[in-house]
Amino acid sequence: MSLLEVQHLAKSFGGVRALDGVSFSLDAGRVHALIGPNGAGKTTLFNLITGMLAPTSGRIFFRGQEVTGLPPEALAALGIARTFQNLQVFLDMTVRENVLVGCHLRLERRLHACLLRTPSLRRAEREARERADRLLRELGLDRYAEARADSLPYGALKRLEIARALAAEPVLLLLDEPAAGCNERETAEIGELLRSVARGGPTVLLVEHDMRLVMNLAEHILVLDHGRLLAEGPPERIRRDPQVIEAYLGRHGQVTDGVAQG
Amino acid sequence: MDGARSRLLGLAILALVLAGLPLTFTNSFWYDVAIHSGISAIVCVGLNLLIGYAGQISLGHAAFFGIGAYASAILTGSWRWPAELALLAGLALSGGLALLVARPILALRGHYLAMATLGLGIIVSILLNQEIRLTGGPDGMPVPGLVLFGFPVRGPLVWYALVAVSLFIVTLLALHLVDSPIGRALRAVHGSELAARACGVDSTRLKVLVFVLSAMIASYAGSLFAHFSGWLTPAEAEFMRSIEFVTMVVLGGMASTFGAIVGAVVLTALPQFLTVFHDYEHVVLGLALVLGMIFLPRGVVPELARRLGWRAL
Ligand SMILES: Nc1ncnc2c1ncn2[C@@H]1O[C@H](COP(=O)(O)OP(=O)(O)O)[C@@H](O)[C@H]1O
Ligand SMILES: [Mg+2]
Repeated sequence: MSLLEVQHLAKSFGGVRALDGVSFSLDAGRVHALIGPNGAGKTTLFNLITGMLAPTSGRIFFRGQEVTGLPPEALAALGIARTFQNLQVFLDMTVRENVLVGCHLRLERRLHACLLRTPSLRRAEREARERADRLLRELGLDRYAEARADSLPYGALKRLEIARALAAEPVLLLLDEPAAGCNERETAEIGELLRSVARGGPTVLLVEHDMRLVMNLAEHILVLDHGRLLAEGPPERIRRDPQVIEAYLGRHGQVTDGVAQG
Repeated sequence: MDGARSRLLGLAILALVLAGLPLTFTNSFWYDVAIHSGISAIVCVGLNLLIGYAGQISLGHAAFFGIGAYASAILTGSWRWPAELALLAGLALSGGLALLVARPILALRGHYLAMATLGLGIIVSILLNQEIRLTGGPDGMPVPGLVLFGFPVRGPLVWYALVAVSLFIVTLLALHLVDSPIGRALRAVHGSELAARACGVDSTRLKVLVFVLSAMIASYAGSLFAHFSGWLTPAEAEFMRSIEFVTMVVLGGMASTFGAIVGAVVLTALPQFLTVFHDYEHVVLGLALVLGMIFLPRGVVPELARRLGWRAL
């Protein structure tokens, strides 16, 4: 059974049809990529899947259960985590605290436990802190653990978003342009990172313009253009699909390499 | 300094100050001022959780203070209930009412809570003035002395001790909450509500929770106040009292628990000592608010903490 299934999903903003009847499904345990030029509707699709926006029409199923219209916190509780294209870091909190908020659903957070600082809360907090620090090490952020997030360089903030999403131990991880604005070395690092993340468990849906990254990581690619699904399939087929080349990749002449700009 | 250590340091200082203060009191007037300051401080520690951490303003906290006060006055006076039970009834009433108001309002997001609590405050104030048979109306009503678990609370020193211990405990609970997953989640909502919700933070539920909690703390303070003063009038639940509480929190420094205490003490004690201000109390209050916003935009305590390089509590 597929992990996520989207049926005839549409979203309009006034007259703009950001998504125009998109249907697809994602198999569990694989890395999927979603590509398409800027304005194609990729972020809008993420916002619908994570409940930040309600669709104009269409339905969304997660693990066979309809989740259309559920609020973001309910979808997070079902195991969907995401990063944001335009950073949404908690800037006046420390880096470790950012990751701890990512663990929120796994923490002891009943009111009486929080007010009294019960032993169960202390234990949960200690464990969460250890887990947060382990994640920070894995993402190369450990030296920033105590620093306020607003003191971090851009590339580190990008990784912090990933750490926070991973802290939730999600079933489905949505990554919105994790390497955008990063230099070649940072992009390669994020590629390595995502490879090891994917080995660890969550199903990944990755939005990214860096074609090398996408072709290296993804086992299944969805191509979105003007709010419609143009093509989908394994990377080899997408790379050779004449429609895709025409609409998106072809403009750059290079299909296998480099960054496709929308 | 990490959270646990700065919390312990702050609490230790608070305990020392509270224990040492009576040594400086030369007559019962000082006790009176200190007890009133402490009662306001209890309200403000709770209100600061709402304003400073949940990012919501209540313009009706005096109503919850009044509900606690009148619950204690009526239930122990006319109904002869034990004081503990009357106090608990006040807590339940305030908490229930806060829940009823906040649930639909906070689901709307935005600053509707301020308007809703303004309305609530006015309604409560009118009821207290009109229900003369129950409350004595504008003239007020007598309140029996406080007997807690068989011990009569009598005399300035005993009252001071009760208020000081109450303030200490409320402060301890507030600091725990701020440094817990709930407090972190609230700060996260302040930073980016979308990202917080994507992490599973139910922001509406948390705001309701904090509002209800702060209403119950105000109610508790109201119960203490009623028994201490022995005579209760609806003036204690008026709109201006609500504004005073908000001013204390803002002046002391939003999102600073000790700041809320300092704000409450300064604005309660100052008018008592500077009797010339008495007729201009509200002018002074407004001036304090305006000047505070201009010169100490973060509030007194956070500003001092920043200059001294401490972590604000
Ligand atoms: N909140 C919004 N309000 C109005 N228009 C929007 C909003 N979000 C996206 N759009 C429009 O929807 C279209 C798709 O945007 P988006 O999903 O961000 O594309 P992508 O992420 O693929 O670059 C664009 O035309 C964009 O201007
Ligand atoms: Mg986008």
